[in-house]
Amino acid sequence: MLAAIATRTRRRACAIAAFSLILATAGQTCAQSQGDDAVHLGVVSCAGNNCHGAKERSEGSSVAQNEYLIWSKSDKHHRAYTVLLEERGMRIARNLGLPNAATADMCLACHTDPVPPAKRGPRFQLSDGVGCEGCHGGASSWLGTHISGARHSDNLAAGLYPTERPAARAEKCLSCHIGDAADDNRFVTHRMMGAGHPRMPFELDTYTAVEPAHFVVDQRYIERKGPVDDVQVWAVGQAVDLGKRMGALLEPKRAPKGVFPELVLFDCQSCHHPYNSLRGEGITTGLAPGSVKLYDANAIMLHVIAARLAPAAAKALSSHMLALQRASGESWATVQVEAHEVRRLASELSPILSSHDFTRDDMKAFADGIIALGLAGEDVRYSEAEQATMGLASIFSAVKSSGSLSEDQITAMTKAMNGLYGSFASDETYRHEPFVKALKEFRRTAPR
Amino acid sequence: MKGEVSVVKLHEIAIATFVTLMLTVAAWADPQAPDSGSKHLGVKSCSGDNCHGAVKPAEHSAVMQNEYLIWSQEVDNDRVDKHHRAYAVLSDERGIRIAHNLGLPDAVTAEICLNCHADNVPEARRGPRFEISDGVGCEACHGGAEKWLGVHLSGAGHKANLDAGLYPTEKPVARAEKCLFCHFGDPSDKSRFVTHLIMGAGHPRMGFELDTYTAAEPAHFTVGPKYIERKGPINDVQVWAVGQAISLIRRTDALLEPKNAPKGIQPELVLFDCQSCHHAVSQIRWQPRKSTGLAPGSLQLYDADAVMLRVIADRVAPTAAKVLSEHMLALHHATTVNWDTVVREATEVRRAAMELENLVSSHDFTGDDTKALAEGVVAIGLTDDDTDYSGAEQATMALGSIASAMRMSGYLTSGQTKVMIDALTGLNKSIADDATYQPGIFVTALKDFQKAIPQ
Repeated sequence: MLAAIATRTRRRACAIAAFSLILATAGQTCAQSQGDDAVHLGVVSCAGNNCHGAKERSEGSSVAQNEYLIWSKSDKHHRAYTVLLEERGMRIARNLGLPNAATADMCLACHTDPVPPAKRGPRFQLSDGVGCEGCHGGASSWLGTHISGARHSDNLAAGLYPTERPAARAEKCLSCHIGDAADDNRFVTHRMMGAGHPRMPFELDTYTAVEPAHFVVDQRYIERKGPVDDVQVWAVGQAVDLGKRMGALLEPKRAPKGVFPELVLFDCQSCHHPYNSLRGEGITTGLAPGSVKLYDANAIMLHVIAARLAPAAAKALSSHMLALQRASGESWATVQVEAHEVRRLASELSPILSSHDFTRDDMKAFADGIIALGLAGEDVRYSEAEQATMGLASIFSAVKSSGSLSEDQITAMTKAMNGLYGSFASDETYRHEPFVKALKEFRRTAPR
Repeated sequence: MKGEVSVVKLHEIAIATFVTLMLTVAAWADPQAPDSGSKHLGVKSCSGDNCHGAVKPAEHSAVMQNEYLIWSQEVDNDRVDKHHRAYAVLSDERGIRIAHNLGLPDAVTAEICLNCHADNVPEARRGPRFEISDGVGCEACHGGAEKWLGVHLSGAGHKANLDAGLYPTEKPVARAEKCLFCHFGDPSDKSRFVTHLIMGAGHPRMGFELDTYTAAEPAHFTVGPKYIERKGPINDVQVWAVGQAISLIRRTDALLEPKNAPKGIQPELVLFDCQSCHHAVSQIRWQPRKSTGLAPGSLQLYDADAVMLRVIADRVAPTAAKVLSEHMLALHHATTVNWDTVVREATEVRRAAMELENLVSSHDFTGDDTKALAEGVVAIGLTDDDTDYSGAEQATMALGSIASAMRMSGYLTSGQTKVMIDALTGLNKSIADDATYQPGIFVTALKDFQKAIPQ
């Protein structure tokens, strides 16, 4: 996985000139419930060899046409259902007291395209995992328009989900990659983690690239869908992610039961580290040693972004995040007050980032801001290192796409990126110092 | 070091005739009580070469006389009594780091560190030769010598020493109270209790089992005929059993202590099982435990002492065992309800543990008891009821104590002893490192031990 992330930069064939078109990403706020009352026709409906099931990239077409092949060969979404029946899936089911993961709503909701039977077309297969319509929406309303060769805007108007828009994509991806805290069948609780579910890191831009993406941002893409700016995708992803996390803290279903809060909202490595490894206790959270810390890596990234684009919001974000961490030692009610404030700030920042035209100077400022986190002398936690690296990868990708880097610079920076990924390859053996060293190396290779 | 504890115990403790004398163990509720007001004269008052500072064990004396040397020797790092270094470590890298993380200027001047890393009696009670830097010296355990040193020097006999104020460390209950006063701490005293704050700042985890830790200290006494004549017999199984009961009582005290009630959504985590959280996220090892009934992903109260005590009670007091196990189950469940319920069930568990403390401290553990307890401890692991790291650790130390008692009582032939030592070595290896601990390896070692129990 990490190796895949590390090679993301090579995979990107973006050759975007400096476009300064403002993306129209108006209120795509509810990914899973919005506009998809259509019947899901199934992957087979898309996989024809003259549609999206070509063996190779099609030269004359506006899209690559080999999307199905990419998805079915290399994309984990394709295996999402199958893994439910594998050893780990069976173990998790057993630990949760479920007869079978492949029949349990709490698993199927994100490991398949879980539309009710009435919304499944004759060729629909649950076992296709997270198929085309899991992200692009049920095709019954738009397939006709789409096949007729209509413009992208016509497809959208007919109900195709606008995955090219960062905020909409963030909503869609995070509807599983964090889930919906209000829906018991769509939220990975700590109970499920304890039963064996793997940890779920996420960063929108990186995860788009490593899926791997089955689109190429080229001239024809840009003509039809507008430009894609990796930094914007990253920034919007952070804001939406943080908003969803705060939403989970505010969700009554996730309130503490008994002595403990819902632990999945906390920083995994805050507890899950061997205690015989002495680790530094950064004071960025303001919490005393031995405290359990809420996951805050998104907030830290968003703070770096806001510090450049909306300094007043950045200041408010940082003081409310500090208050939120402190509140965990006070009461749940205080936690909720602060979570509400942080969510408000995240939702204010989201449209600002969606419409901002990110410049070279912005990118440089973000990179400097992220690097500064590691050089401030305080220990960088694993979750921070992970988000910082993915953030830098998005920035690198954007700068590279702008065409301003020489081949030598790209080679040096790719090597430095790989060093960063390598420095946190395992949360068990992660140490602050190698990460900071890799960070300094990245700074050295970055153009000034 | 820990990996060698049980083996060492078997080697070190000489075999004595097993005397089935009932031990009279009065309740020492306060390990400091016999010492109140007495001046501490300092290690130098004990370490004369014709007192306890001999270079070699004395042949004709009632005690070895080289106790000071055993406590203070630095020759063999594996055999050093850590009590001697307790003060010095406060200035080591780790001590400095912990102090820094806690915002303390210095660990060697902080009450919270000194109370257990030294014999921290008030200034007024320190004699002219007393040195705080001696760490946990003679009088920290044996009591301030001011009132009894004269009697002691006169050779008046052990009983006269006790009457004068010497602390009765030979009595399992008194020893448990004394050791646990630091090895668990006093939850009502914020300067005498290692909270999760202190753990988070870098303090190491504190494993403890009375009998094993007595042997591993290393003990500066030998239970021979002269010892038994003066102080009565020692039964390792009883020391273990009493230690478990009192450990559980202290643990429930901590749960009942208002200072340890949850703050916000942060409970006092030091009362929970360390490995319940502190394992790598990639290391998935949850399995259902019928003695906790908890769901996956739950934090679990530390209960290895309760599990061991239940094994002991199953043999010596089956009704009490049932009560204990019901309330422990309810206590685990209570953590998913609310803190009031935790407090209510902790009260019940405490009551059961108190009753069992009385029973086990006066019980005459027979050879058959010892064998049954060995089988009971093994069964816990083999029925998958507790193969958590903490459970495996306590089971291993328990089997070390049991093996030691079997050997001392002549229950084992020398051939059987060797097989059992090998099996203990395997068990110790399986728990040597919590980060890499694998329940399967522990269970295999447990099966080897099972085979070593004479039928």
